[in-house]
This record gives sequence, C-alpha cells and structure tokens, in this order.
Amino acid sequence: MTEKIYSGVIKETVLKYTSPSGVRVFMLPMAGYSSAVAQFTAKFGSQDNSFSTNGKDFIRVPDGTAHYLEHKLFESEERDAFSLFAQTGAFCNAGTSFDYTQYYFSCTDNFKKNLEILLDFVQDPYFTAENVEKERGIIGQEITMYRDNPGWRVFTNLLEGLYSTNPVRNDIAGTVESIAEITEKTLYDCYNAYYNPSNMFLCVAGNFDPDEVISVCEAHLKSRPAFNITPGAYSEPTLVNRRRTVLQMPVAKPIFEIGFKTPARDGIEGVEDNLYYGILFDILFGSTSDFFETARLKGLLNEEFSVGMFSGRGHAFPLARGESSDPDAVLELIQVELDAFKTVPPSREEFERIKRATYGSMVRSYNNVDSVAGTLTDAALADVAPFASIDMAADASYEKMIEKLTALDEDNAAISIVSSDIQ
Amino acid sequence: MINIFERIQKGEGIFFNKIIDKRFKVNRYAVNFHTDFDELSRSDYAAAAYILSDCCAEYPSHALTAKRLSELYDASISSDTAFGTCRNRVTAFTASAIDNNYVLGKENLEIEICNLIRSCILNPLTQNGIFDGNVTSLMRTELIDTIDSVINDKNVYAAFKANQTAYVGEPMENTINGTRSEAELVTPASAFAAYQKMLKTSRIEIFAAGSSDFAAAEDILGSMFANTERGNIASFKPVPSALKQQPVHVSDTFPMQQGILRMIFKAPALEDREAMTLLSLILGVMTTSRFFQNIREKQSLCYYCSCNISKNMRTLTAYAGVEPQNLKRTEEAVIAELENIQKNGVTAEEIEMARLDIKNQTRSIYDSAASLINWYANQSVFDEYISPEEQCEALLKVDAERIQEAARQYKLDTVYSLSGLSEEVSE
Repeated sequence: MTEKIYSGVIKETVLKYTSPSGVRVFMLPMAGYSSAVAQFTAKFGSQDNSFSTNGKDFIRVPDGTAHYLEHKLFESEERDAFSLFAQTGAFCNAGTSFDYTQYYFSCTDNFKKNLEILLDFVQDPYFTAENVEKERGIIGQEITMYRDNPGWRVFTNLLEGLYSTNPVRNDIAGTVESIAEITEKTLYDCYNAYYNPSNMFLCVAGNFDPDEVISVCEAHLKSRPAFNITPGAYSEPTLVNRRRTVLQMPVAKPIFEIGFKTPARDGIEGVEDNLYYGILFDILFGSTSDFFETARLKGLLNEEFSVGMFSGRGHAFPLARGESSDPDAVLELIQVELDAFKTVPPSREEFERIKRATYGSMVRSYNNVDSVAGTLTDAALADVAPFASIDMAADASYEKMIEKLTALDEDNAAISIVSSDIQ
Repeated sequence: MINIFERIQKGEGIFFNKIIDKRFKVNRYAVNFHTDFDELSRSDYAAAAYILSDCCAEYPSHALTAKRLSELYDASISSDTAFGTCRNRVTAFTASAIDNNYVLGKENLEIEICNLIRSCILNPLTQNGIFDGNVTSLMRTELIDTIDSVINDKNVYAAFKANQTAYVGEPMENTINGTRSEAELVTPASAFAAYQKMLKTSRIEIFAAGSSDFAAAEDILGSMFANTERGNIASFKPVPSALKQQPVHVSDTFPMQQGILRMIFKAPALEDREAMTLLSLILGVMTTSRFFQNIREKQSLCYYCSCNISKNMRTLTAYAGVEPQNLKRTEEAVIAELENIQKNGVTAEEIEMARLDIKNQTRSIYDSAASLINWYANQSVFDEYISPEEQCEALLKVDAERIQEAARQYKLDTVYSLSGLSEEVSE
C-alpha cells in the first residue's frame, strides 16, 4: 500500500511505502530529470557504541565501529560493490555520521539493476578476520587525514566541550587505538542488531518508476525477526563539560566554534527546535545582523563567520563558527547580545525577513536530485513527515521564536579554538 | 534533453546566454569577465571582485546588501576570481534566487535579483571617483585573510606549493589572488583601475539558467553594458604547460601527521583531449581505477590516490594522502601504473566502465542549472559550442590505442611531497 503525501507549499508529492520486510521507503519522482539517487540508511552511527539486543547483556563496541562496518560492507565473497556499480555506470559511495550510516548511488541508466545491487550488498555482510585486518591500515590513514584537518578538529573538540558522557563526543572514525580492537565478531554483532529492516529506510528521488522500486524491494529486501535494541544508558549533565578547548595546529588565523548546549528533542519537536533556533541565530548573529556588521568593521570577524544549528539523535545545539584573532571576545559579545535580546527582542519585521529567507533556502533543497533525496532522508531520520520542515517554515510564528530565545541559557556555552599559538 | 541553450551577442565581446528548463525551482545567473592575466595587478583584480559583491551605492554596506538578499528569499550574490581555461583571469559574479512560482507573496524575484547584480557591478560605492576607502580597507584585509588561509587546508597548501615548481614562469606559479605583500599594496585607486580595465577590455559572458523565460534577465543584464566604454577586447587560446627537461623533486615539511604526494605529468604535444579524459578515468578517477584498486586496495599505501587533468594545459596530476614513510613507495607505484598503461594499454572492460561513467556524468549535467552554466561557460571563450551529449559521443569513440598513445606522451615533470609531525596542546 502506497501513501501519497502532498505539500501545497512546495507542490510536490512523496510516495511512502513499507515493504513486507519492514523497511520504510520514501520516493519523490522528478519528471524530466535524467538522474536518480537512492539512499539506503541504517539508524546506526558512531554514537551507537553500547547496546543490548532482545534483553541480553549490554555490549560495548570500540569507537569507530559503525564507520569500520561501512567500509567492510562494500566487500563480498565474490566482488566488491564498487566493481558491480562500475559495470552499470553508477556512482556509489557511503557515509557514516554520528547517528546513521548511509549507502547510496546515483545513476542515469540501469536504475533497477543499481537498486538491486544496493539492496543486495547492504544485506549481505562478509566479514572475515583477514578482510577486517586488511582495512585497518586504510582506516587508520583516514583517521590521520582527519586529525590533520583543523576544521574537523575544531568541531570534534566542541562536541567534547559540550558533552560529558553523550557518545556523540567520540570521533566518528574512532582512533587508531580503538579500531585496533575491532574484529569480525564486533562487526557482525553490530550488523545483526542495527541493520535490521525495522531500523532501516530507503529514500529515492529523481528519474525512476515507483512501481519498479516497490517490485525490487519486494524481491530483494529480506525479512528478519525484529530486534529489540536497547541503547546503552548515559547520564548527560545539563551543563557543558568544558567551557574552553584550545588546540595548537597551523592555521593562518585562529578558527573557532561556539555551541550553546540545549536539550535534544525528538520528532516534530526537534524539527521545531532546528527551525526556530536557526531563525533566531540568523536574526541575531547572521550576515544581516548589526552584531556581524559591527564585529566585521572592528576586524573581529570576517566573511568566514556563520551561524546555524547542529542536531541529531540525542544532541542539538545552535552554533557559531568562524575565524578571529580573538575568539574569546566573540563568545563574550554573543553572550552579551543574547542577554540583551531577552530584554529587547528582535522585531517582527526582522523575523518575517529571516523567515522568508529560511523558507527560500528550503525551496532550494528541492532543486536537484541529490538534495531532494537528502531532504527525504533527514525527515525519515527525524521520524517526521517528508515536508514537515518546509511546511513549518512557511508558517513559522514569531512567538515560538521568542520562546526559544527565552529558554536559551547563554552561559551554558562551550568554545573550541584551533590556533597556531596557544593563548 | 529538454533544456534550450540560446546565445545572443549584445555588444562588442558581450554575449547573453540563456538555458531554459522548466524543471528547476531556482534560477541562476552569472556575469563572467574574461581578462588577460596581468601578474602585477592580480591582487587589485581580486580586491575589486570582493568590493563589488560586498555592497553598492544603492545598498552601501554589507549588512544592507545581505538584508536585501534575505528579503529576496535567501537570494545570493557572490564573486570569485579564478584561472580560466586558457590561464586567463575569470572574474565571475554569480547569483541565484528561487523561481517566482515559489514565492509566498507576489514578488518578481528575477527582476529584483537582476537589478541587484547590475547595481553591484555598475554602481559601486565610490568616493571621489574611486572605490570607497573604508570598503577597500575591509576587503583588502579579507583578501589577505584568504591568501594566508592557504595553510588551513594541507591539500590546498600542497597544491599551491607544488604549482610553484610545476608551473614556474607561468601564471599558475602563484595564486590568482596574488601574494600577501601584493595584497597589502591594494588601494581604492589601484583596485578601481583594475575594475575599469575589466569593464573595458573583458570578454563578457552573461548566463541565465532555470525555469524562467529570462525575458527580464535579458532586458536587464543583456543591456547593462550598453553605455560602457569598450575596446581592446581580450581573446584567448590554450597554452600548454612547458615540460621540464628533467623531473624536479621537491620535499617540504609541515606540522601534520599524514603526508601528501602530488605528481605532475605533462604532455605539451598531446592534442587528443578525449583520450586524456579516458586515461584519467582509468588511471585514477574511478573507484575501479588502477590507482584505487592497486595502490589503495591491494598495496594499502594510502587512503586516497586519484588524479585530475587539465585539457588545455595538457597536464595530469596524481595526488595521494600517504603515511610519510610510504611517500617514496607511492611515488614509484604511481609511475608503475602509468608505465603499465604506456607499455600494455588498457583492457576492454576498463574502457567499457569508463564509457558508462562518462554517460552517467554527461546526463547528470542536465539536472543542474549550475552545471549547465559551468559547461557552457568553460567553452565560451573558444566560440565553439558543443552540448554535453555531443561531447559524450566524442568520448565514446575513444579506443584502447588512443588511450595508450595519450599515456605514452605524458612525462613526469614535478614530484612534490609534504610531510611532518604535529604537536598538540589542549587545555
């Protein structure tokens, strides 16, 4: 049974279908486009490092396991998935985040065959002591590459600063030491728990036939007994873990990220937080704000400065990032501004302008096949209707934004700095 | 394919190009100025581009320009200065706005954004006939920040350093923005002089792509230079990069953990552009490439090993992220893979995979207005236009012999390696 979900705002229709296996499928056909993208996602990311299945004892897996598993899933007993996709001309890849792992392809031909390959290889793990060992060196080099990236380090240090026990504070790929402990058993334990159809979904956008997707899903998605996964419990304090972190690395000018710790909410409430904190920070500190104009004219900030919202399962915070010769002064100014705005809030006129810009940026996400598939995936991860974000943005209310401003604790902030010189 | 490419001459060296495709929800615009590369004034040109996209007389601060853009539903205007296909300078102003079909009110965003583009380019904020001093000072600082920030990304830094050896005596020896000391000398008058020369002598290519009919864009952007003094319009032809008599090896250290290897091969006499493309796909671009399969997967020498080509400079650059102790082995492995193709050619299966990849990439171009603008913009200085599909047909005709012959013409010019160890301190 296929359900049609229409948005009068963006004038598009998503088809939702649940396969007999339990995998949820979201499809947005785009007439006239040449390419199609399919993203097959498991709600299993780097933060899922402790779990119990069906009431058994808790397992603690090494940090970096989800990412390691992603690498190894491309390999089968006969040929690796890359070579299979090369025979159809598709581009394929995968990515691991904090709270999910995704496998995807884009193609202009052979869509049906590509979808079959995607579903088959993700459901066909082949982990041996030998092939797991072979990957260790490559992943170790990937970890090293990211450790040399100041932009990545400043972000991961911010997560460590914000969170004390939340596993999102651990690097997605783990460490050279942690991945040394990963075995084929580790990978199978995680695969069997999290790559269960009930924990997975497929999003497809572009040039494809929905009936073909459904027939491939029915033929290729395997039914498996549902697993009851209980994530390992952790008690995350309300307050940030460490207010200031500084790392010495070669950068032209100190780079920084500032996060304001807020409660993470699920579902539509999480979508609401993302929307309103995003609008709020754009009004107060974005490129059109008096704050930015003043700080830029003083030489405190430059065009690299930006604000936004970072969120996922179990974590959410508004953030500001950029380059500055004095990042601590930037944090202090932001805190002073937040405090002042609680007394004299931004105007409705400002709100309406940024609301319109926010809506416009969401319309952009429906402009190409890749970003449409990504938007469907974001909604599925949040477990909300496909058009929940854009529909909410078109109808955003000033009062709700003020509620967010009032609730935000400007003192509960962490700053991460990467600088050539330790200050 | 359903999109329509139309090109109309609007003046001496001025062309308006439109690509109409009703699928798109966002309309994109570009005004590209192609000028000769002038080493002495490169920072002036770069600063001028920064100044023009920051504000204008109508919106005389960055904040006011940004507010106007947010009123236009998160429309954007940005500028960029880069090397063109003939190692000329391209100063590009790009803009985008959602189509009028998706506005919440009754605004005509096409007219508004095109007027703003015109204001930024033709009506800058000035004082006494030159750029405003405060804006120039601010933009000079941001230009210097950009030049300095090359060290923030070690891959960019390695490419910058490798280019200094590979392209010595050529425009790409240094960055298009100039050096820090050159940028420090930028004044409102020097940047304004570069701006005026750009308006006068550039080949100007204007693009509009999206679902509108672009009647308003043609009216506003197509006529915007009608009163601009024009003369000595630049013209271009590709210049291959010169091959050194002996390969040069340069090693640098940098505070970091993973090493980077860049190897530049050159083939100045190679004219078979299609064969270059297939060679690069088979050698290093695809996940089934020789580099990926043999150097990464079988020998586990690096996390990534890939390559790219410049058809006009006739270069092939291999690059890899490598453990410092494996730099030499990886260098040897890259040479061995190229030599293998030079001696033994490529397989029918490899050609078939490359052809499938080409078909996939070609058709994907039609799904993005930005990709379509890039496609035609890259050809615009040659006055020869082929569609992505026509290019695809030419590529599909390349056979094993042509690929092997292309491989044989590439000679090693430069090997650049970057390695070192970092020390970290946290508090």
